[in-house]
Amino acid sequence: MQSIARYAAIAILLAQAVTMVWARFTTARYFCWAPYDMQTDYQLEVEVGGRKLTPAGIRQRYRRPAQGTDNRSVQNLIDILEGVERQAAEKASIVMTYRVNGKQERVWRHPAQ
Amino acid sequence: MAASGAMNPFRCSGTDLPPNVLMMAKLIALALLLTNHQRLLPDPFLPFVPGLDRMLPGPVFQTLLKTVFLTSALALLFNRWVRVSCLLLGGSMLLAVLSSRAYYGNNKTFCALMLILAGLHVRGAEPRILRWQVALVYLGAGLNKALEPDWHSGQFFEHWAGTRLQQPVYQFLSSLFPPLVMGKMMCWLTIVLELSAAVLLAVPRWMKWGVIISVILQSGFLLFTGTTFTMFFYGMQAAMAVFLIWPQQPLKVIWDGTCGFCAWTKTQVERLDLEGVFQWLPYQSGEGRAHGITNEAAAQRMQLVTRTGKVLEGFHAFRHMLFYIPLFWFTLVALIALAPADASTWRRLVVATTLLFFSPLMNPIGVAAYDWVARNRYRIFPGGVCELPQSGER
Repeated sequence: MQSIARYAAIAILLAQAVTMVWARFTTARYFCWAPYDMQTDYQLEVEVGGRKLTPAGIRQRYRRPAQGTDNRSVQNLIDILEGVERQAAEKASIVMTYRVNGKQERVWRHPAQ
Repeated sequence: MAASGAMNPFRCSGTDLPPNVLMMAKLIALALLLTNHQRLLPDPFLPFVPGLDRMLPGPVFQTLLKTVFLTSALALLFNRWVRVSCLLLGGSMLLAVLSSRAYYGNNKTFCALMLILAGLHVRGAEPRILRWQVALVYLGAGLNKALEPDWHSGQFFEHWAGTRLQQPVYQFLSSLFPPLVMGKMMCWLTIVLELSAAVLLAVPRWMKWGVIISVILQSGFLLFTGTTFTMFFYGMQAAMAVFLIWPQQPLKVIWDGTCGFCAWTKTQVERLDLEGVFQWLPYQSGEGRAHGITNEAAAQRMQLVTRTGKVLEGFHAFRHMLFYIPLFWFTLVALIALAPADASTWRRLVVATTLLFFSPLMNPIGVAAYDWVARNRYRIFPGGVCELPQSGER
Protein backbone atom coordinates (compact mmCIF):
# COMPACT_ATOMS: atom_id res chain seq x y z
CA MET A 1 0.00 0.00 0.00
CA GLN A 2 2.83 2.37 0.92
CA SER A 3 4.64 1.71 -2.35
CA ILE A 4 1.43 2.26 -4.34
CA ALA A 5 1.07 5.65 -2.61
CA ARG A 6 4.69 6.50 -3.43
CA TYR A 7 4.30 5.52 -7.10
CA ALA A 8 1.03 7.46 -7.35
CA ALA A 9 2.73 10.56 -5.90
CA ILE A 10 5.67 10.25 -8.29
CA ALA A 11 3.25 9.77 -11.20
CA ILE A 12 1.54 13.04 -10.24
CA LEU A 13 4.87 14.88 -10.39
CA LEU A 14 5.85 13.24 -13.68
CA ALA A 15 2.49 14.14 -15.26
CA GLN A 16 3.17 17.79 -14.44
CA ALA A 17 6.64 17.60 -15.96
CA VAL A 18 5.01 16.27 -19.15
CA THR A 19 2.41 19.08 -19.24
CA MET A 20 5.16 21.66 -18.67
CA VAL A 21 7.02 20.37 -21.75
CA TRP A 22 3.75 20.00 -23.72
CA ALA A 23 2.89 23.64 -23.04
CA ARG A 24 5.98 24.72 -24.98
CA PHE A 25 4.39 23.33 -28.16
CA THR A 26 0.91 24.88 -27.76
CA THR A 27 -0.48 28.36 -27.28
CA ALA A 28 -2.73 27.26 -24.38
CA ARG A 29 -1.32 27.11 -20.87
CA TYR A 30 -2.98 24.29 -18.91
CA PHE A 31 -1.42 22.51 -15.91
CA CYS A 32 2.04 23.91 -16.66
CA TRP A 33 2.34 26.37 -13.76
CA ALA A 34 2.04 29.61 -15.66
CA PRO A 35 0.07 31.69 -13.16
CA TYR A 36 -0.45 35.35 -13.99
CA ASP A 37 2.09 35.16 -16.82
CA MET A 38 -0.13 36.90 -19.36
CA GLN A 39 -2.83 39.58 -19.10
CA THR A 40 -5.57 39.53 -21.72
CA ASP A 41 -7.93 42.51 -21.68
CA TYR A 42 -10.90 41.56 -23.81
CA GLN A 43 -14.40 42.53 -24.89
CA LEU A 44 -16.97 40.12 -26.33
CA GLU A 45 -19.79 40.85 -28.72
CA VAL A 46 -22.06 37.90 -29.35
CA GLU A 47 -25.04 37.42 -31.61
CA VAL A 48 -27.31 34.41 -31.44
CA GLY A 49 -29.94 34.08 -34.17
CA GLY A 50 -29.47 37.73 -35.17
CA ARG A 51 -30.06 38.87 -31.57
CA LYS A 52 -27.26 40.56 -29.63
CA LEU A 53 -26.58 38.99 -26.22
CA THR A 54 -26.55 41.23 -23.15
CA PRO A 55 -23.52 41.12 -20.78
CA ALA A 56 -25.60 38.91 -18.46
CA GLY A 57 -26.45 36.61 -21.36
CA ILE A 58 -22.77 36.37 -22.33
CA ARG A 59 -21.79 35.49 -18.76
CA GLN A 60 -24.47 32.83 -18.60
CA ARG A 61 -23.42 31.29 -21.92
CA TYR A 62 -19.61 31.31 -21.47
CA ARG A 63 -19.22 31.75 -17.69
CA ARG A 64 -16.98 34.70 -18.39
CA PRO A 65 -17.82 38.42 -18.17
CA ALA A 66 -18.53 40.20 -21.44
CA GLN A 67 -15.63 42.50 -20.71
CA GLY A 68 -12.68 41.89 -18.44
CA THR A 69 -9.18 40.62 -17.95
CA ASP A 70 -8.06 37.02 -18.06
CA ASN A 71 -4.80 36.30 -16.30
CA ARG A 72 -3.76 33.46 -18.56
CA SER A 73 -3.09 32.78 -22.20
CA VAL A 74 -5.79 34.16 -24.51
CA GLN A 75 -6.01 30.65 -25.98
CA ASN A 76 -7.57 29.44 -22.71
CA LEU A 77 -10.38 31.95 -23.24
CA ILE A 78 -10.73 31.05 -26.92
CA ASP A 79 -10.98 27.37 -25.94
CA ILE A 80 -13.98 28.20 -23.72
CA LEU A 81 -15.73 30.20 -26.43
CA GLU A 82 -15.14 27.52 -29.09
CA GLY A 83 -16.03 24.71 -26.69
CA VAL A 84 -19.41 26.26 -25.90
CA GLU A 85 -20.15 26.82 -29.58
CA ARG A 86 -19.28 23.21 -30.45
CA GLN A 87 -21.92 22.02 -27.98
CA ALA A 88 -24.54 24.75 -28.44
CA ALA A 89 -27.76 23.92 -30.26
CA GLU A 90 -28.17 27.51 -31.41
CA LYS A 91 -24.83 28.74 -32.77
CA ALA A 92 -23.50 32.21 -32.09
CA SER A 93 -21.25 34.57 -33.95
CA ILE A 94 -18.59 36.05 -31.70
CA VAL A 95 -16.31 39.03 -32.10
CA MET A 96 -13.65 39.33 -29.43
CA THR A 97 -11.40 42.37 -29.38
CA TYR A 98 -8.45 41.90 -27.10
CA ARG A 99 -5.01 43.09 -26.11
CA VAL A 100 -2.32 40.86 -24.67
CA ASN A 101 -0.20 42.60 -22.03
CA GLY A 102 -1.44 46.00 -23.21
CA LYS A 103 -0.04 45.68 -26.72
CA GLN A 104 -1.86 46.33 -30.02
CA GLU A 105 -5.55 45.46 -30.28
CA ARG A 106 -6.45 42.24 -32.06
CA VAL A 107 -9.73 40.78 -33.21
CA TRP A 108 -10.78 37.14 -33.04
CA ARG A 109 -13.98 35.97 -34.73
CA HIS A 110 -16.05 32.86 -34.53
CA PRO A 111 -16.84 31.37 -36.92
CA ALA A 112 -13.56 32.34 -38.58
CA GLN A 113 -14.04 34.51 -41.69
CA MET B 1 -4.08 10.65 24.19
CA ALA B 2 -7.50 11.77 25.32
CA ALA B 3 -10.15 11.77 22.60
CA SER B 4 -10.95 15.44 23.25
CA GLY B 5 -7.30 16.36 22.77
CA ALA B 6 -7.06 14.31 19.59
CA MET B 7 -10.00 16.21 18.08
CA ASN B 8 -8.59 19.61 18.99
CA PRO B 9 -8.50 21.48 15.66
CA PHE B 10 -5.39 23.38 16.76
CA ARG B 11 -3.46 20.19 17.33
CA CYS B 12 -1.29 18.68 14.57
CA SER B 13 0.41 15.76 16.32
CA GLY B 14 -0.73 12.27 17.25
CA THR B 15 -2.21 11.40 13.83
CA ASP B 16 -1.20 9.27 10.88
CA LEU B 17 0.62 12.24 9.29
CA PRO B 18 3.76 14.08 10.46
CA PRO B 19 2.84 17.29 12.35
CA ASN B 20 4.32 19.61 9.72
CA VAL B 21 2.47 17.87 6.85
CA LEU B 22 -0.79 17.94 8.79
CA MET B 23 -0.22 21.59 9.70
CA MET B 24 0.17 22.40 5.98
CA ALA B 25 -3.00 20.49 5.08
CA LYS B 26 -5.00 22.08 7.91
CA LEU B 27 -3.84 25.59 7.02
CA ILE B 28 -5.08 25.06 3.46
CA ALA B 29 -8.35 23.53 4.72
CA LEU B 30 -8.86 26.45 7.12
CA ALA B 31 -8.26 29.01 4.37
CA LEU B 32 -10.67 27.15 2.07
CA LEU B 33 -13.38 27.15 4.72
CA LEU B 34 -12.87 30.71 5.92
CA THR B 35 -12.90 32.13 2.39
CA ASN B 36 -16.09 30.13 1.70
CA HIS B 37 -14.43 28.44 -1.24
CA GLN B 38 -17.20 25.86 -1.54
CA ARG B 39 -19.39 28.51 -3.22
CA LEU B 40 -17.00 28.45 -6.19
CA LEU B 41 -17.19 24.69 -6.76
CA PRO B 42 -18.73 24.24 -10.20
CA ASP B 43 -21.04 21.95 -12.07
CA PRO B 44 -19.31 20.39 -15.10
CA PHE B 45 -18.55 22.88 -17.86
CA LEU B 46 -16.29 22.02 -20.81
CA PRO B 47 -14.36 19.43 -18.77
CA PHE B 48 -10.73 18.59 -19.43
CA VAL B 49 -11.62 14.92 -19.01
CA PRO B 50 -14.25 13.91 -21.57
CA GLY B 51 -17.37 12.43 -20.06
CA LEU B 52 -17.23 14.21 -16.70
CA ASP B 53 -20.19 16.32 -17.84
CA ARG B 54 -22.24 13.23 -18.68
CA MET B 55 -21.71 11.19 -15.50
CA LEU B 56 -24.35 12.92 -13.37
CA PRO B 57 -26.82 15.79 -13.78
CA GLY B 58 -24.94 19.08 -13.19
CA PRO B 59 -26.68 20.11 -9.93
CA VAL B 60 -26.23 16.60 -8.46
CA PHE B 61 -22.52 16.60 -9.38
CA GLN B 62 -22.08 20.04 -7.80
CA THR B 63 -23.95 19.11 -4.61
CA LEU B 64 -21.91 15.93 -4.22
CA LEU B 65 -18.69 17.86 -4.77
CA LYS B 66 -19.62 20.46 -2.15
CA THR B 67 -20.67 17.79 0.35
CA VAL B 68 -17.39 15.87 0.03
CA PHE B 69 -15.42 19.13 0.10
CA LEU B 70 -17.04 20.43 3.30
CA THR B 71 -17.12 17.09 5.11
CA SER B 72 -13.48 16.28 4.40
CA ALA B 73 -12.30 19.81 5.24
CA LEU B 74 -14.05 19.67 8.62
CA ALA B 75 -12.84 16.11 9.28
CA LEU B 76 -9.29 17.22 8.53
CA LEU B 77 -9.53 20.19 10.89
CA PHE B 78 -10.78 17.92 13.67
CA ASN B 79 -8.04 15.32 13.03
CA ARG B 80 -10.46 12.64 11.82
CA TRP B 81 -9.12 10.15 9.25
CA VAL B 82 -6.55 12.75 8.24
CA ARG B 83 -5.03 10.82 5.35
CA VAL B 84 -8.40 9.99 3.76
CA SER B 85 -9.64 13.52 4.47
CA CYS B 86 -6.62 15.00 2.65
CA LEU B 87 -7.26 12.72 -0.33
CA LEU B 88 -10.97 13.56 -0.43
CA LEU B 89 -10.52 17.32 -0.01
CA GLY B 90 -7.71 17.48 -2.57
CA GLY B 91 -9.56 15.02 -4.81
CA SER B 92 -12.76 17.07 -4.77
CA MET B 93 -10.82 20.22 -5.71
CA LEU B 94 -8.93 18.41 -8.47
CA LEU B 95 -12.19 16.93 -9.78
CA ALA B 96 -13.66 20.43 -9.80
CA VAL B 97 -10.64 21.69 -11.78
CA LEU B 98 -10.81 18.80 -14.27
CA SER B 99 -14.56 19.13 -14.72
CA SER B 100 -14.73 22.86 -15.46
CA ARG B 101 -12.57 25.16 -17.55
CA ALA B 102 -14.36 28.06 -15.88
CA TYR B 103 -13.15 26.93 -12.42
CA TYR B 104 -9.67 25.93 -13.60
CA GLY B 105 -6.86 27.88 -11.97
CA ASN B 106 -3.28 27.33 -10.91
CA ASN B 107 -4.05 28.24 -7.30
CA LYS B 108 -6.79 25.60 -6.96
CA THR B 109 -4.75 22.95 -8.77
CA PHE B 110 -1.79 23.60 -6.49
CA CYS B 111 -3.85 23.33 -3.28
CA ALA B 112 -5.53 20.17 -4.60
CA LEU B 113 -2.22 18.51 -5.43
CA MET B 114 -0.60 19.43 -2.10
CA LEU B 115 -3.56 17.90 -0.25
CA ILE B 116 -3.51 14.75 -2.40
CA LEU B 117 0.25 14.35 -1.96
CA ALA B 118 -0.19 14.83 1.81
CA GLY B 119 -2.73 12.00 1.74
CA LEU B 120 -0.26 9.83 -0.18
CA HIS B 121 2.62 10.65 2.18
CA VAL B 122 4.53 7.52 3.07
CA ARG B 123 4.64 6.87 6.81
CA GLY B 124 8.01 7.60 8.39
CA ALA B 125 9.47 9.22 5.27
CA GLU B 126 10.62 12.80 4.80
CA PRO B 127 7.98 14.81 2.87
CA ARG B 128 10.33 15.01 -0.13
CA ILE B 129 7.62 14.59 -2.76
CA LEU B 130 5.66 17.49 -1.27
CA ARG B 131 8.83 19.58 -1.36
CA TRP B 132 9.47 18.63 -4.99
CA GLN B 133 5.89 19.63 -5.81
CA VAL B 134 6.57 23.16 -4.53
CA ALA B 135 9.90 23.29 -6.37
CA LEU B 136 8.17 22.10 -9.56
CA VAL B 137 5.65 24.94 -9.38
CA TYR B 138 8.44 27.50 -9.13
CA LEU B 139 10.35 25.79 -11.94
CA GLY B 140 7.29 25.87 -14.21
CA ALA B 141 6.46 29.47 -13.33
CA GLY B 142 10.06 30.67 -13.75
CA LEU B 143 10.61 28.79 -17.03
CA ASN B 144 7.35 29.98 -18.56
CA LYS B 145 8.17 33.58 -17.74
CA ALA B 146 11.76 33.22 -18.95
CA LEU B 147 10.47 32.03 -22.35
CA GLU B 148 7.88 34.80 -22.82
CA PRO B 149 9.04 37.83 -24.87
CA ASP B 150 6.85 40.22 -22.83
CA TRP B 151 8.69 39.15 -19.70
CA HIS B 152 12.07 39.78 -21.35
CA SER B 153 11.10 43.29 -22.40
CA GLY B 154 9.32 44.26 -19.17
CA GLN B 155 6.05 44.80 -21.10
CA PHE B 156 4.12 42.41 -18.83
CA PHE B 157 4.98 44.22 -15.61
CA GLU B 158 4.60 47.68 -17.15
CA HIS B 159 1.06 46.84 -18.25
CA TRP B 160 0.06 44.83 -15.17
CA ALA B 161 1.45 47.10 -12.45
CA GLY B 162 1.40 50.44 -14.24
CA THR B 163 -1.83 50.29 -16.22
CA ARG B 164 -4.03 47.55 -14.76
CA LEU B 165 -3.26 47.86 -11.03
CA GLN B 166 -2.10 51.49 -11.21
CA GLN B 167 0.23 50.64 -8.35
CA PRO B 168 1.39 54.02 -7.03
CA VAL B 169 4.82 52.85 -5.79
CA TYR B 170 5.53 51.17 -9.12
CA GLN B 171 4.31 54.19 -11.09
CA PHE B 172 6.55 56.50 -9.06
CA LEU B 173 9.64 54.30 -9.42
CA SER B 174 8.92 53.69 -13.09
CA SER B 175 8.80 57.45 -13.72
CA LEU B 176 12.41 57.74 -12.50
CA PHE B 177 13.68 55.49 -15.30
CA PRO B 178 13.34 55.41 -19.11
CA PRO B 179 10.24 53.54 -20.39
CA LEU B 180 10.07 49.81 -19.61
CA VAL B 181 13.29 49.79 -17.57
CA MET B 182 11.48 49.37 -14.24
CA GLY B 183 9.19 46.76 -15.81
CA LYS B 184 12.19 44.86 -17.14
CA MET B 185 13.90 44.93 -13.73
CA MET B 186 10.77 43.62 -11.98
CA CYS B 187 10.20 40.91 -14.61
CA TRP B 188 13.76 39.62 -14.41
CA LEU B 189 13.79 39.85 -10.61
CA THR B 190 10.66 37.66 -10.52
CA ILE B 191 12.16 35.16 -12.99
CA VAL B 192 15.45 34.94 -11.07
CA LEU B 193 13.68 34.56 -7.71
CA GLU B 194 11.29 31.88 -8.98
CA LEU B 195 14.04 29.83 -10.63
CA SER B 196 16.29 30.26 -7.57
CA ALA B 197 13.47 29.08 -5.31
CA ALA B 198 12.95 26.02 -7.54
CA VAL B 199 16.61 24.99 -7.20
CA LEU B 200 17.04 25.88 -3.53
CA LEU B 201 13.82 24.16 -2.39
CA ALA B 202 14.83 20.94 -4.13
CA VAL B 203 18.20 20.67 -2.35
CA PRO B 204 17.88 19.79 1.36
CA ARG B 205 21.02 21.73 2.33
CA TRP B 206 19.73 24.92 0.70
CA MET B 207 16.00 24.65 1.32
CA LYS B 208 16.04 27.21 4.14
CA TRP B 209 17.05 29.85 1.59
CA GLY B 210 14.39 28.60 -0.80
CA VAL B 211 11.78 29.03 1.91
CA ILE B 212 12.97 32.58 2.62
CA ILE B 213 12.77 33.50 -1.08
CA SER B 214 9.33 31.89 -1.43
CA VAL B 215 7.91 33.64 1.63
CA ILE B 216 9.30 37.01 0.51
CA LEU B 217 8.02 36.49 -3.04
CA GLN B 218 4.48 35.49 -2.03
CA SER B 219 4.29 38.17 0.67
CA GLY B 220 5.66 40.67 -1.86
CA PHE B 221 2.87 39.81 -4.31
CA LEU B 222 0.27 40.34 -1.59
CA LEU B 223 1.84 43.61 -0.43
CA PHE B 224 2.05 44.78 -4.04
CA THR B 225 -1.50 43.89 -5.08
CA GLY B 226 -3.39 43.58 -1.78
CA THR B 227 -4.92 40.29 -2.96
CA THR B 228 -4.30 36.64 -2.17
CA PHE B 229 -4.71 35.47 -5.79
CA THR B 230 -7.69 33.36 -4.62
CA MET B 231 -5.91 30.47 -2.84
CA PHE B 232 -2.36 30.89 -4.12
CA PHE B 233 -1.04 32.97 -1.21
CA TYR B 234 -2.50 30.59 1.39
CA GLY B 235 -1.44 27.44 -0.45
CA MET B 236 2.11 28.53 -1.09
CA GLN B 237 2.69 29.93 2.43
CA ALA B 238 1.13 26.82 4.01
CA ALA B 239 3.36 24.65 1.81
CA MET B 240 6.40 26.06 3.59
CA ALA B 241 5.44 23.88 6.58
CA VAL B 242 6.67 20.79 4.72
CA PHE B 243 10.16 22.29 4.76
CA LEU B 244 10.05 22.68 8.55
CA ILE B 245 11.92 19.80 10.16
CA TRP B 246 9.83 18.77 13.14
CA PRO B 247 11.94 17.83 16.20
CA GLN B 248 11.96 14.12 17.09
CA GLN B 249 12.83 14.95 20.71
CA PRO B 250 11.36 17.81 22.78
CA LEU B 251 13.29 21.06 22.54
CA LYS B 252 14.70 22.12 25.91
CA VAL B 253 13.68 25.53 27.22
CA ILE B 254 15.90 26.65 30.08
CA TRP B 255 14.11 29.19 32.26
CA ASP B 256 14.31 30.93 35.62
CA GLY B 257 12.37 28.65 37.96
CA THR B 258 12.19 31.19 40.78
CA CYS B 259 10.48 33.96 38.82
CA GLY B 260 6.71 34.33 38.91
CA PHE B 261 6.50 36.11 35.56
CA CYS B 262 8.55 33.35 33.93
CA ALA B 263 6.25 30.70 35.43
CA TRP B 264 3.23 32.57 34.10
CA THR B 265 4.83 32.80 30.62
CA LYS B 266 5.68 29.09 30.76
CA THR B 267 2.05 28.24 31.59
CA GLN B 268 0.75 30.34 28.68
CA VAL B 269 3.17 28.80 26.17
CA GLU B 270 2.39 25.29 27.46
CA ARG B 271 -1.29 25.95 26.79
CA LEU B 272 -0.43 26.71 23.17
CA ASP B 273 2.13 23.91 22.85
CA LEU B 274 -0.41 21.23 21.99
CA GLU B 275 2.26 19.19 20.21
CA GLY B 276 4.43 18.89 23.31
CA VAL B 277 7.43 20.29 21.46
CA PHE B 278 8.95 22.08 24.44
CA GLN B 279 10.45 20.66 27.62
CA TRP B 280 10.74 23.37 30.27
CA LEU B 281 13.70 22.98 32.60
CA PRO B 282 14.66 25.48 35.33
CA TYR B 283 18.26 26.60 35.05
CA GLN B 284 18.59 26.02 38.79
CA SER B 285 18.43 22.29 38.04
CA GLY B 286 21.74 22.56 36.20
CA GLU B 287 20.26 21.13 32.96
CA GLY B 288 21.52 24.04 30.88
CA ARG B 289 25.18 23.42 31.63
CA ALA B 290 25.22 20.32 29.42
CA HIS B 291 24.51 22.69 26.52
CA GLY B 292 27.05 25.31 27.55
CA ILE B 293 24.43 27.60 29.11
CA THR B 294 25.71 29.40 32.19
CA ASN B 295 23.44 30.21 35.12
CA GLU B 296 24.18 33.90 34.54
CA ALA B 297 22.98 33.74 30.94
CA ALA B 298 19.85 31.76 31.87
CA ALA B 299 19.07 34.17 34.72
CA GLN B 300 19.11 37.03 32.21
CA ARG B 301 17.12 35.47 29.37
CA MET B 302 15.18 32.30 28.50
CA GLN B 303 17.38 29.84 26.59
CA LEU B 304 16.24 27.42 23.89
CA VAL B 305 18.24 24.44 22.68
CA THR B 306 17.22 23.94 19.03
CA ARG B 307 16.92 20.64 17.14
CA THR B 308 20.51 21.01 15.91
CA GLY B 309 21.87 21.79 19.41
CA LYS B 310 22.25 25.51 18.75
CA VAL B 311 21.34 27.71 21.72
CA LEU B 312 19.03 30.68 21.13
CA GLU B 313 18.24 33.16 23.86
CA GLY B 314 15.58 35.70 24.73
CA PHE B 315 13.72 37.22 21.80
CA HIS B 316 15.40 34.87 19.29
CA ALA B 317 14.32 31.83 21.33
CA PHE B 318 10.75 33.10 21.62
CA ARG B 319 10.54 33.77 17.87
CA HIS B 320 11.94 30.32 17.03
CA MET B 321 9.35 28.66 19.27
CA LEU B 322 6.51 30.15 17.21
CA PHE B 323 7.44 27.95 14.23
CA TYR B 324 6.26 24.92 16.21
CA ILE B 325 3.00 26.40 17.46
CA PRO B 326 0.34 25.73 14.78
CA LEU B 327 -2.18 27.95 16.58
CA PHE B 328 -0.02 30.96 15.71
CA TRP B 329 -0.20 30.15 11.98
CA PHE B 330 -3.93 29.31 12.14
CA THR B 331 -4.53 32.72 13.69
CA LEU B 332 -2.59 34.46 10.92
CA VAL B 333 -4.58 32.63 8.23
CA ALA B 334 -7.83 33.58 9.98
CA LEU B 335 -6.78 37.24 10.23
CA ILE B 336 -6.19 37.39 6.48
CA ALA B 337 -8.98 35.08 5.28
CA LEU B 338 -11.76 36.60 7.38
CA ALA B 339 -11.07 40.12 6.12
CA PRO B 340 -13.57 41.36 3.52
CA ALA B 341 -12.49 41.18 -0.12
CA ASP B 342 -11.89 44.94 -0.25
CA ALA B 343 -9.80 45.02 2.96
CA SER B 344 -6.49 45.10 1.11
CA THR B 345 -4.94 47.50 3.64
CA TRP B 346 -5.70 45.10 6.49
CA ARG B 347 -4.19 42.14 4.60
CA ARG B 348 -1.10 44.18 3.78
CA LEU B 349 -0.77 45.24 7.43
CA VAL B 350 -0.99 41.67 8.74
CA VAL B 351 1.51 40.34 6.21
CA ALA B 352 3.93 43.26 6.56
CA THR B 353 3.89 43.00 10.37
CA THR B 354 4.53 39.26 10.28
CA LEU B 355 7.29 39.62 7.71
CA LEU B 356 8.93 42.37 9.76
CA PHE B 357 8.63 40.34 12.98
CA PHE B 358 10.56 37.42 11.48
CA SER B 359 13.10 39.58 9.65
CA PRO B 360 16.52 40.59 11.04
CA LEU B 361 15.24 44.20 11.02
CA MET B 362 13.17 43.33 14.08
CA ASN B 363 16.15 42.03 16.07
CA PRO B 364 17.24 45.28 17.78
CA ILE B 365 13.68 46.20 18.80
CA GLY B 366 12.74 42.64 19.75
CA VAL B 367 15.88 42.07 21.81
CA ALA B 368 15.52 45.46 23.54
CA ALA B 369 11.85 44.83 24.37
CA TYR B 370 12.52 41.30 25.63
CA ASP B 371 15.48 42.42 27.73
CA TRP B 372 13.46 45.27 29.27
CA VAL B 373 10.74 42.85 30.33
CA ALA B 374 13.35 40.33 31.54
CA ARG B 375 15.13 42.96 33.63
CA ASN B 376 11.88 44.12 35.20
CA ARG B 377 10.20 40.74 35.56
CA TYR B 378 10.28 40.72 39.37
CA ARG B 379 8.68 44.16 39.38
CA ILE B 380 6.01 43.14 36.81
CA PHE B 381 4.99 40.19 39.00
CA PRO B 382 5.86 41.40 42.53
CA GLY B 383 5.62 38.59 45.02
CA GLY B 384 4.98 36.17 42.24
CA VAL B 385 7.89 33.97 43.10
CA CYS B 386 7.00 30.38 42.44
CA GLU B 387 8.27 27.17 43.86
CA LEU B 388 11.26 25.70 42.07
CA PRO B 389 9.94 22.93 39.84
CA GLN B 390 11.44 19.49 39.87
CA SER B 391 14.10 18.67 37.30
CA GLY B 392 12.54 17.41 34.10
CA GLU B 393 9.16 19.01 34.74
CA ARG B 394 7.44 20.04 31.55
